[in-house]
Amino acid sequence: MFRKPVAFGIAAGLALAAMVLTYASRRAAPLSARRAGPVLADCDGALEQLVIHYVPEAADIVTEAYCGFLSALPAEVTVHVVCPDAAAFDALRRAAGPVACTLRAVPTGHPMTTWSRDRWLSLSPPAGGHPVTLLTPRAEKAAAIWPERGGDRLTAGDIARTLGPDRAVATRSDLLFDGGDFVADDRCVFVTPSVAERNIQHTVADRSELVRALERELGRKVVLLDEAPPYHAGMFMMAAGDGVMLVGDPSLGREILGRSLPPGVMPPGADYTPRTQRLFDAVARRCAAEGYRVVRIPTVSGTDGRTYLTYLNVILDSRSGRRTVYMPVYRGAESLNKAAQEVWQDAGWEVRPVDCTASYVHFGSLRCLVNVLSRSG
Amino acid sequence: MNAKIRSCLTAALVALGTMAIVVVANWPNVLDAKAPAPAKTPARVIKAPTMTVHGCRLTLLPPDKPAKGDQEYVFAVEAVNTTDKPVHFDMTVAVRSTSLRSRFSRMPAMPREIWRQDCPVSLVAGETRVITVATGKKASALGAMPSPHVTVDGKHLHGSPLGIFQPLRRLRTPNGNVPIKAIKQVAALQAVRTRTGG
Repeated sequence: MFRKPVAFGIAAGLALAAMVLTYASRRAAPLSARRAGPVLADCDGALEQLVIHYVPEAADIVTEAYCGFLSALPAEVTVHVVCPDAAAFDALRRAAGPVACTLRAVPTGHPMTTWSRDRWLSLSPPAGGHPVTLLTPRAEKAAAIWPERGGDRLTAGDIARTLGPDRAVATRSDLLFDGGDFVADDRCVFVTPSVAERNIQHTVADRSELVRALERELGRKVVLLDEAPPYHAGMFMMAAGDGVMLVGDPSLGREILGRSLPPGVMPPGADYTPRTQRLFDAVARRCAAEGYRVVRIPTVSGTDGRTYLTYLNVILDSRSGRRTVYMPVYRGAESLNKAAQEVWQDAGWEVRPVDCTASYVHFGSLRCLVNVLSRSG
Repeated sequence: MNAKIRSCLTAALVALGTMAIVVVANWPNVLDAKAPAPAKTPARVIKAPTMTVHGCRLTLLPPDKPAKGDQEYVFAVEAVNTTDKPVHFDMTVAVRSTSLRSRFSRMPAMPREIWRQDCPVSLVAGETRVITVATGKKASALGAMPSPHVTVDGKHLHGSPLGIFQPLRRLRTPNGNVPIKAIKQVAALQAVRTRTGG
């Protein structure tokens, strides 16, 4: 009499546990065991789902850029707004005003910064399926001294949890990187030298092991740049599709702006040194060696190695045969803005300018603020 | 009726208990449940970066324990002459550090070299020597995340911060929006980084 319910209970408990663990392990499976596609290209397909971070304390840095960008997006786009709480989301909605795109909140309940790009890379879903995989770096730089950056480390998980395992899963790489260290198209992914510096003799033995690990995780041919200007790839290069690579050129920037910059533009001072020019040129040569048609675009980098007046920090959208580039522009640098716009137009892109004057002095522009979760087509 | 209810309750309790034990014992690290969790296979950690120059293997040794801010910043390089001849070379040892523009900037500033010293090295055949580099500066005077660097003939060995993190006071200012659990998570991250040196 007593044994039957106990035996039944054990059997039922084991069955329930099996179901729970199967569900949980599906969410936690390592990337190698999962069917993830390659890292999302920067220039191919129509924008479908974007992710931005919003923190009210950083409103002065980002609101202008977000308002300009969100109001220009088409109705087909959904923007997930990662924010500490519902009040922050409401504040952004109010600031943005009426927009065609859909805004959805991803409340986190922990500190965070307002920079979405570096937090994760989006790996395409397996052919024709779901979910998207958010590949986070092994650790966040400076998280040990920076509570908001420590919180940033959790946002990929917040997004996956909010969207659900059928739409997005998050997994952690064994490698150290920032999302901004990569620029990809359908042929390959370019990787900055800082990824080599952070990983070789820390997570991998040597360069070849690093390239193998990156190719395994990103699912594309990896071009690890030997030389490049300091900081993230989107500051000095961008894939424009059809085998075209735009690469920054400080000499063009100086030609347009002149040696003395307008007041308030590029606070640390412009770096027009031959050494920096050589680093930009090295990137252009490497792209050409990889078979790309290289187009140079005026750029001004700061002497601090972090501040850039760049027109490569863009979000690209190819939709129904129409190619649109959301391009940062900067007040006080109108002649440079105009010249850059012409370069993109000549490359076949319709330009939607987004004012990033308030953000670039904090070391980031549009692409640094916006991450692309998925594209269609 | 009582017997039936008792049986059902017993079965339900046993089922729940069994499930709880099995699930807790086998629960995988679910990254998307809260935070990026460690992979089941521990990720590779190279605690002591190494390079070979002039037939000598140079290793940046991990510290025995993290230094405190008021202690002198010291690191050590192990040099092993793997050849059967004496070796002489010039080594440059340096410390780089960074700073934060604001809590909401995208990145800390570019790391800058804040201390350097040339250090000639002579080793007899097969000799192993641990070279202790004393900077003469307190860790607290070396910026936010000081890290050691070794250069020989243009080859570099980049060290991780030696578990010495200088929290910037303004970053620690209590923030009404920061829940305690989040601060604890950051503290946990600190502990991990300190232990791995990564």
